[in-house]
Amino acid sequence: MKERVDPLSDAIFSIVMTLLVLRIHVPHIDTDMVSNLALFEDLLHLIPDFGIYFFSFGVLGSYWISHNIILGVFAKNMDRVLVMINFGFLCIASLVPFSAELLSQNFSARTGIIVYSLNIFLLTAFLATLRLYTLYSKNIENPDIIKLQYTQADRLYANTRLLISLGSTVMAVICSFVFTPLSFVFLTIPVVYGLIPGLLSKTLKIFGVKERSNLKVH
Amino acid sequence: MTKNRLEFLSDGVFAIVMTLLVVEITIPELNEFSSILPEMFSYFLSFAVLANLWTIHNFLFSIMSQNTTRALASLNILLLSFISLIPFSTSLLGQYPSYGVSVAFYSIHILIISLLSLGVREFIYYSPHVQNPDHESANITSLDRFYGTSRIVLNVAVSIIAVILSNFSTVYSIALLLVPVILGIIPGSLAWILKNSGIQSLIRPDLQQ
Repeated sequence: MKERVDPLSDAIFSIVMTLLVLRIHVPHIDTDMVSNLALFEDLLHLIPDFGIYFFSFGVLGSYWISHNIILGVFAKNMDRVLVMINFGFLCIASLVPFSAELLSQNFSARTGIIVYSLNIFLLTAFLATLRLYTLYSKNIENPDIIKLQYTQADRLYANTRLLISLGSTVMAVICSFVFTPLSFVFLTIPVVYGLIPGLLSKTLKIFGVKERSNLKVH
Repeated sequence: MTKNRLEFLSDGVFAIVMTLLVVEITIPELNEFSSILPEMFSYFLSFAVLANLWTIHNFLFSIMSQNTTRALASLNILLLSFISLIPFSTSLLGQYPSYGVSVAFYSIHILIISLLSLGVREFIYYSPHVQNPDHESANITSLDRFYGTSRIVLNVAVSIIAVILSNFSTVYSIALLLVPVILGIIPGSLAWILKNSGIQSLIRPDLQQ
């Protein structure tokens, strides 16, 4: 099953990522009103849309990387349960363009932020389930963990990454009732940690956590 | 990280972006077919641009890198996010072909993608964690690397000039953008020009055979 689940997941991710662009509409100006200035001003109005586009692309990209590590590196085989958890994950990932559009339609509205945060929260929850099932189910074979040099510290890193995502989406929802710009800051945190390699180890070092091993899977 | 899946994802994005380009072409009235000529033009231009980018991507990720790291995967996501934006720029260029702003937008878009490809190339060549193939076994000569670099540098240079030129003449600007595209889709043409114009012996005299 595995040889088909991996390409299927990649195909879904690539389609969802690409569909995000359809939410940005080329400005429509009446023929007699078109000028370079009018076009430029209309393009300036699209800046929030572009922001949400790149942000959502980053969200999907960072979750794809995690998915790649969990299913591509750890799970050596699949069973029906893992396939169904994976479909749940893909189902939530495919909702990202919808949440992105909702957010870009009313940028400062609470509903948009709550839906988007909920989307990322559920995505993280499914990812955590995928990871736990892959690591601890008796049906799923993992590669020799000693050979991969997967240590206790690496486990801590992966757990921290998931907890940061869950925590910051909850904070984003809470902040949307108080001060919406802060919600965006919280929403950005999991994406930044997901996409900038080494940032998590630098942060954890401040708290005295020891350096992770030279993990082969990364 | 598995390299296979990175290639699957990237090919998926390329395939869908190329297909989405056609969605942006409006269906014309029966006897007003000429009204969609700009849109048809920008469709073919972008398709050729994407074909060239795909070969560059293939060279960098499938031939020059033997493995993938988290950092390389993130860089790839960044590159893909701009590639997947091409249908927007294409549509903008197709609907407002004679306005400097849309031509400049398209050129800046190509410029960003070219600079990112350059960055990815540097990362793949010089990161200690990304292994490059043994030149002899992979049949890659220094000449191949030189042509690969020239292709990206040409893209960067042309799009910078096209941005400046779009202030004065959109036609010349678009014509200039076509140069690297045509050189890209005719295999061997760039190598032929570099060799016969003496540029190659000027920049890399050691590559003379």
